[in-house]
Amino acid sequence: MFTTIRYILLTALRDWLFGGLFIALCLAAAISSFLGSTALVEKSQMSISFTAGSTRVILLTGIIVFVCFHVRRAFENREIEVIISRPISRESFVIAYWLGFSLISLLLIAPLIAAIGIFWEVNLPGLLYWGSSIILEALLVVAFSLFTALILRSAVSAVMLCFGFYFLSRLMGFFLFILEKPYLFREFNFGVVTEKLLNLVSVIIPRLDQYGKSDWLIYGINGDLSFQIFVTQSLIYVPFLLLMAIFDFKCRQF
Amino acid sequence: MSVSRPYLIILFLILQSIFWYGIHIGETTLWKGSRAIKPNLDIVPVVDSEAMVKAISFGDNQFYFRAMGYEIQNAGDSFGRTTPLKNYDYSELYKWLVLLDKLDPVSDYLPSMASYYYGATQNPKAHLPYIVDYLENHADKMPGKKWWWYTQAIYHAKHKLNDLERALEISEKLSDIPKDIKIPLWARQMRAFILEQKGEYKQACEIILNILDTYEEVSEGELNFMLYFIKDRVKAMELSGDEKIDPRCQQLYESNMKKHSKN
Repeated sequence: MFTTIRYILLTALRDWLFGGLFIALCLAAAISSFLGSTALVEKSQMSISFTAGSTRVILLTGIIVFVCFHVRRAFENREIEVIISRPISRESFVIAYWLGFSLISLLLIAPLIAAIGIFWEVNLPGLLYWGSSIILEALLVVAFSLFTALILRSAVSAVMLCFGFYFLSRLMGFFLFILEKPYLFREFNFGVVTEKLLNLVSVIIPRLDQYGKSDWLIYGINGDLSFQIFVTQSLIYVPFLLLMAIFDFKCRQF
Repeated sequence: MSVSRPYLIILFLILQSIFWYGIHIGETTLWKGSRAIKPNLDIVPVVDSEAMVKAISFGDNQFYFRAMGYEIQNAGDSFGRTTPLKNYDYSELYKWLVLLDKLDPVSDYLPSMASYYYGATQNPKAHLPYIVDYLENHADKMPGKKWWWYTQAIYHAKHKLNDLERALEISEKLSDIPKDIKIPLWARQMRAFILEQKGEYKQACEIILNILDTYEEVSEGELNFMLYFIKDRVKAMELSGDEKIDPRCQQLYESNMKKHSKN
């Protein structure tokens, strides 16, 4: 298992994932600082919010693209066949891949959290709250990306599905909001079918809109209970996705 | 059939020119041309609905609040243009400010922008009522913490709009802030100043007296100012002779005069 994890880390280095994402994150932080410095007041808060929001999106996009393309390329180059020809169970293979990608995510997120803490005056409990939620969000996204890359035959389809899933999950709060207040859409009638469909989707899709809120960095936690939501959500969803990936991978014929 | 390269280039240029300039036959226009399509350069962007804001924020309300706040800050001054504040649609601006306040009622970014930047409009009569309403609306959410924006609203109403009634209305909210919340005494006295400007000296004196009675920790400077205020208004009332002076005001005035004559 450790060999597989090490192999994934090496491929991340080979594909310039760390270097590329590091440059992108530095650029995002620099642009955010510049934009923040031109605000009338609350310049620091502006920079923090822009940095937190933009780096989160860049990181997760990078992780999704890397995981999907890495797995699909491994299939095409028959690297996976080589790996599973060794004495490693398919369950261990999926877990090792997930651990490897999760470790990469951690290695990318930890310096980001440290940099935000060092360069800006942020609320410390809020930073820990935000940091832990981003890590859990990354673990969930890694699990989903791995699952889609294992079941779909095209890397592009896997990436598109992951983006769809991510945006849908981030929109769950909005869906629940419009289900509660349909009168806000004066010219659109949801109808029973759409309403039921939205309800069904909201049951299945995780609430990623409760993760990585940049106001924690500015105002602190202030009795916010999102921690319970994002920890529980991750505890339910990550094992579920991994089990699905294992189930599918075990049925696969090589 | 082979077509030579120069003919292809000429054909491309003709098609592109038609696309750019449009197709006009006599007075009929079949295609306006792509040069007629310009970016929408509204000064104040169209206000989103609350539902749309929830959707676009993707769960990070703070990010959206800051991003849209920044857009409102630079509205009308983008793409190399500058727009005088008199040309802004303040009713739309007001809707934006109220909408964004729902995302973050704690931040002082928007009220600062509204008061110090948009408050400097060249058309105060038409525009400032929106700013005053917004500042009052913003402070209403947390009067104890946001009292400063009441004073700013009063400033705009009193000095720029010359609307003493509106200023008085807001100053009542300042006076109503619970005693245990620490705000400067001058803010609590604001109502007295406005009443005094309206010529209602008696009521103004009573407010100052009430503050003197209610607050134990009054600095010497504040105390001197309040005594001066009472003295000055009692004198004015005596001169006008048409208002009945509160006996306590008179008493304070006389004792103060005696103190001064001794000195």
